[in-house]
Amino acid sequence: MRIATTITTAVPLALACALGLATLTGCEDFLDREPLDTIVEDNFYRTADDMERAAYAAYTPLQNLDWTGQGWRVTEVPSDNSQAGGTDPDFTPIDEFSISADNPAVNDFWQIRYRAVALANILIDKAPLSEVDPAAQAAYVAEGKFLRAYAYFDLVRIFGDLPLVTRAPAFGQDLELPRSPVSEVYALIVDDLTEAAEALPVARSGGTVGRATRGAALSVLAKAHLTQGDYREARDVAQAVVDLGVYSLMPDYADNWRLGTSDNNAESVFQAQHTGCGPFGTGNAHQAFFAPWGEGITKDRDGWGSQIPTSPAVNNAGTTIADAFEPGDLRRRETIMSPGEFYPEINPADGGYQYPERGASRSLYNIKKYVVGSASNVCFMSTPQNAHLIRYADVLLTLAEAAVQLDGGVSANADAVAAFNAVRTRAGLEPVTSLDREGVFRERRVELAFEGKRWFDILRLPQDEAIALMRLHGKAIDADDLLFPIPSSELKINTALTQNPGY
Amino acid sequence: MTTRLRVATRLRSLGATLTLLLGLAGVAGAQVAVTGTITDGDTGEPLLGASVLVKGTDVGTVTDYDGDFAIDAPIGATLLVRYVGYLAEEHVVSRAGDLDVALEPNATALDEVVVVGYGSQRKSDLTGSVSSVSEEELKSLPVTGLDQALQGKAAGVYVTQNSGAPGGGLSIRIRGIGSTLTAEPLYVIDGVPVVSDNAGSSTAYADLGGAQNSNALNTINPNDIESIEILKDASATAIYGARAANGVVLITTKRGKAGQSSVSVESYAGVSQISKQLPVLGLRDYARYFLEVNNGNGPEEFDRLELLGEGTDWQDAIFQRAFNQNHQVTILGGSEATQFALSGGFNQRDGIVIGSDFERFSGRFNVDHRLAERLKVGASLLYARTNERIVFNDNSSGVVYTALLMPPNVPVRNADGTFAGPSEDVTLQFDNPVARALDTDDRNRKTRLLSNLYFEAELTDWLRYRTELGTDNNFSDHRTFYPSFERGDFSGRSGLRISDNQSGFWINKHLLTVDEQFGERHKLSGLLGFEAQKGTYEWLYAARENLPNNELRQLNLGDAGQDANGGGAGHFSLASWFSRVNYTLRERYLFTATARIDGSSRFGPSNRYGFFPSAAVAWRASEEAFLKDVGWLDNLKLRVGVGAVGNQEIGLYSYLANIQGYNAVVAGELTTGFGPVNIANPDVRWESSVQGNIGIDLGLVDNRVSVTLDVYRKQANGMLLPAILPATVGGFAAPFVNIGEINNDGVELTVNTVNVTGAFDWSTSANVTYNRNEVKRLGSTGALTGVIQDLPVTRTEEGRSIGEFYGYRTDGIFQSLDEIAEAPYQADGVRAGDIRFRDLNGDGVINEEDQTFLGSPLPDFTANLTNTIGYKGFELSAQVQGVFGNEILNLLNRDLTGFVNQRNQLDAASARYQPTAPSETVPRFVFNDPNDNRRISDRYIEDGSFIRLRTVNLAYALPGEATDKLRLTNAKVYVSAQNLVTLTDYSGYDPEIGSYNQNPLINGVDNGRYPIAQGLTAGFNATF
Repeated sequence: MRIATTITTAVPLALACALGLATLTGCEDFLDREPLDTIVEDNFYRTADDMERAAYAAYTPLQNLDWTGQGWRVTEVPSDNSQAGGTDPDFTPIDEFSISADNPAVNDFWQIRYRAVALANILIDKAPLSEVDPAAQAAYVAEGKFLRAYAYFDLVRIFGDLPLVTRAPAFGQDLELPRSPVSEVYALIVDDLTEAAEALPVARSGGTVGRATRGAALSVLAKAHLTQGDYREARDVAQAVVDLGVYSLMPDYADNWRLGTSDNNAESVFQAQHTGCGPFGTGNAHQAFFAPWGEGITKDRDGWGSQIPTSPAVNNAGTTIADAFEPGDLRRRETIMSPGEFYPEINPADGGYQYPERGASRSLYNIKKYVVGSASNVCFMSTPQNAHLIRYADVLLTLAEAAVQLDGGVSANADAVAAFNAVRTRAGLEPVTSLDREGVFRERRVELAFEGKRWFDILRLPQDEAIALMRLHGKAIDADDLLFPIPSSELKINTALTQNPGY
Repeated sequence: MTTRLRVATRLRSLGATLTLLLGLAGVAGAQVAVTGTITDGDTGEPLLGASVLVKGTDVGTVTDYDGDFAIDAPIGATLLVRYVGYLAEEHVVSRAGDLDVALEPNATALDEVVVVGYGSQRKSDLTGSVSSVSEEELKSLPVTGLDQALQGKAAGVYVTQNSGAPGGGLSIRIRGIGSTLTAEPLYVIDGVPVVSDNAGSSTAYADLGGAQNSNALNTINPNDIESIEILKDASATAIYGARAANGVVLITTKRGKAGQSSVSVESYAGVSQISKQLPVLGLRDYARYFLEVNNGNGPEEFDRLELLGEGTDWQDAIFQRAFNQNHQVTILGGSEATQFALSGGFNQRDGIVIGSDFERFSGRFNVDHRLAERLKVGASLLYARTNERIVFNDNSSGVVYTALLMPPNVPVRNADGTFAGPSEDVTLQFDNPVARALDTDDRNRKTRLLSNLYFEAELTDWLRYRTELGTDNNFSDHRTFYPSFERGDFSGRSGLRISDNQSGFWINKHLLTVDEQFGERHKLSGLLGFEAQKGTYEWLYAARENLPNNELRQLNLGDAGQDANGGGAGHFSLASWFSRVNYTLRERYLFTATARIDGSSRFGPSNRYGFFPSAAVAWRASEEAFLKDVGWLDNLKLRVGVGAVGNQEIGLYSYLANIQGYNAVVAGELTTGFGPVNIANPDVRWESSVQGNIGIDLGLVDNRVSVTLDVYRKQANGMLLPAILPATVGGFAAPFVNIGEINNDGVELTVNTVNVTGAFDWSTSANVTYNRNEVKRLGSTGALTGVIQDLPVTRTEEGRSIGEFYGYRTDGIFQSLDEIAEAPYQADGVRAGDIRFRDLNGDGVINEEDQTFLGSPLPDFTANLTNTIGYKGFELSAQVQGVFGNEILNLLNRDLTGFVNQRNQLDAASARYQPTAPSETVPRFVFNDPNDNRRISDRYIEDGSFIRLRTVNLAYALPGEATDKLRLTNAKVYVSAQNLVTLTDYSGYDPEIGSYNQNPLINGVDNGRYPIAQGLTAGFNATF
């Protein structure tokens, strides 16, 4: 049977191809063999489903371990909130500011964000060529621009000048890009976010929950303005987020850290979406790195205490996160585990979890956020809890900080004070009547501890203040340490790149 | 087809009519009876089965047992007398009666016909470099696979077994390695091209302890092979164009001959075994070592060392004396019009490692039929089924590896007969290797159906048309079952994995050949051809875990929640035009030119067609007048050739950018996003190779001494390498670009001598090959790393040979803390007894910058020497193989001399550094190895040179009286020993390592591989 088919197809085909009648067209078809079990790029990015799935892919870097989870190696560990739990080739050099240009954590931070840029660029370039209607095209472009700006905003603050890739990847393209100055990077970020904010929906529902919204774009834009010192724009844009009227603080701070109430809640402006026990890289891996080592909280092989809070036990007293909470601050037990603290909500079937009196790390404290214990939908390095990227509390404090800066260090701006007090009173603390820089800075520190914000907050300080603060904390850094090294592998490949000073 | 046939028939009848007319034009054609005897012109022996044909008609007969024939023919007709291996003769019938013909043997070396690409040529007409392994050579030894058929037989052809497992893979390197993707040659079996892609027909589960894929060509029964030709230089291979860069191996199976049918029975049986054991610690030494390194704590039985017995010899437990057998029946026969060859074979081999075996049933049917005077059809059909049980090796959790590390205090079995596991006092992290070998059932069953049908028409005396339709269908069913177990502190759940692969391939060729002599001086032959071929494959994978018991082994019994499955398919096609012209002037100046255009689906649309030309000239100086009279010089030929060839094995779709699924979470749900896999280079094309060859063939003293010397250069340029991209373009798989260059330069010398003839005869054949491999260019890739089990072991850099071992240099053992303090910083926790590494860049720190090249796995030269002595029916032959100048990375020793845990060790453990007994050469024991004493270093590099008595064969051919009594044509009995003696400094089991899964970057790495056995075989061949 098979042979018969072979003869009837092969021989005529071969003859047609052989004689070819000078055109070779018969052969062209014969030689055209596209993959049978993979999709070819040339045939993709056409239909509505193609574009929707391309958009799904564009969000995957945010779920990646290197962005959240252990991604805080770069945005938390250098700060005065966090440190390495033990000796670790990735964490320790960052903690000690002895970062080499081949530090894997810094390299991962760079790579995953440039992957996000590439996937976003694909969305931006391919959507206008697809078959979807113009409104949908514009929405995909907006999502792409939001994600691109979000990645570049992280990169520019850690590395400074950047190679700016703005096209979908293609052979031989963008291989020797030099670094563009910070101002150009911000110009792109501001443009992208402004454009994105216009086209993105105010709210998401159903199957699109968690994807970029106008509020998310404006929140990042406000922060970008704030970082650049454009305080008026920062304040106005943050206020515009408030004015959208779709966000509110959760009644209890703890709601943001409990399974069931934390995901895509009213306070969530933007989260990395996770699911537990799925394929590697789809779960939230924070618990693996934060949960104290040897305590068996996760009932799996993880829970390494790789990143731990700073405390007077090992750091200069008065400069640590353990010192930073005011008495009565309800956020403390949700943020750090202190000696003797009891958590009935962790593994309730076992009667809860008591953090040991002797501590379970070298600083005697461990991080509590994202530590949820064991559950049926919790697996190795994978909890189902979304990771917060932008909380409304962050937006409110951005508004407060912008107002304070705009008003010269002290502000009684009613909107700003109201925003600040909303965060503060939820924590069980007394409201204030006017704002000062110190107060806002401290409030941000405790409200957003271990959420990948603190190092950026320090970087926003005037340079001498940032250095002084870190020195007081016990890290003898200098100006060069405020930017991290461009990965050495990149310098080897792209000879147009230059290294940051001091590396 | 039908029209063509009709035309041909018409041509034929035209020919017959012409003959008839010519016949009539002579003497009136009265039928007369002609009888006679056909004999061998040299010996006078009658020739059985010689054909006698009235030329231009279908009338013919064959000689009987006494060489006699009788035929009726018209006066004036021409009788054509033919017998294979003899020069044909024509005799005009002038009268009735006797016509005795003595045929001259056509067996002088120079007139041997060798198979070349798409045809055959007289050896004397060759201009390229071709090595032949004849039927005689193949028949003289019991060969179980292609590897043995080729090993050491030809200069420039380096054959190594990648695994000693029965049916295990082999790698064949013709004139060095010229690609980082594949260095395996193209095989053409009875006209059907076959690529030896082991990964396509088997799966190696590294997570279960596997590594080497089984051999894709073990479905080929070597007993069916008539001859093997190895095309080595571009002037010989360029006719295969884009698939020729690594050389071409042409395999021709046996075909029938006109004459009386013959039935041959060939049988052998043998045993094989491991050639040596490694000196690991016995129980008492192990116990002493254990107590020393565990501060005196250990299992209770270690308290009284003197009461300990011998313990378990784990090498004894996993190795066995293995039986093998092979039986083959071949029937050859046919008439002048139809010849056939029919054979059936059975090969069964147990492995020398328990739990491994191989079985092959094969059948072959070749038929040739003369439809009419000028029309021929025929077929080659090959069917084979193999059943191979694989035992995991070449992996640190493989059976050989773990057997060596398993402590002797662990018994193989418990008192109740169940397999024992490591005791709780000893931390091992691996299981009982005997249990793993016997309980794991990893079975690969393959079926191959290879066929080639042809139709040939002699359009005129000088023009021939031939078309062939070949197919190659393969099916492999690979099932891996591992049972659940609980042994000691080790347990595991059961699982079943099934991997099915199916591939189909067809090729259709159309060939026009021309062969004509113009006057005395000019001879022209040519070939014009076209072929189209297409291959497809499909695979299916399914697995489940937690089967309810270990007896029922079907997928649906497994845990549905733990299932995994996958599947895929692929296809490729080639359309090719090719031509060859041979021109001979005055029998002494030979010119050959070939050209091929290959259109391949694997190349991007911008480079879809490749052009591969070659040209060669040869001068048969011995035919010149001034040398013709030199009595001792029979042959002197100089050959020069150059050509361009390609390697199209670059992956099926390298030129395309693919999209793949991304695991995405959207609104709390796991879903699939789609994004790029790779960035593609649309211009990607074949790896090209320019090859030049200069050779001399020399025949002296009645051709009793023949010498062939070849000097070559193979310049691979456009070698495919991954471009290195900055992460800023997204971190997708990099495109392949044609940027690499590798040179292989070499010299090959073959000398065959007939030393003594007569009742006692002695002949010698020797070959020596020198090859130098140098990587010239890697472009932006910079360097390539060969990785085994996450361990980088080789590095390929410009200016060096491919895949050199790479690591640290050692400088003895630290003897004191002072020495450590003075030495460059190595690591925290370094103490006396740790290895001192060399600070090659002098920066005061030992880090990866201090790694360097530690040696090359490629031999400087290889040599083979075969002597054959015959006396009165006895024949003794011995083949000695030598491989020189290569290094081996003994990865096994990283653990066997690791001294970092409680596993068993080589007896060197007793000589390790201890404060009370310092050592200058063997490091201390230390848990967790803070100094990383086990890093890849020159400690594990060993000289891999060896000289091996590969085979000794003693055969006795029964004399004529005996065979006559037994009614046999001939009969032979023999005994043969394989790998009897190996001289080497290598400390592992066997220095013949081969490549790791055909990977050109990883050669000569011993990772606990399945060792090659030595064996003894006895057998007989008889023909009725």
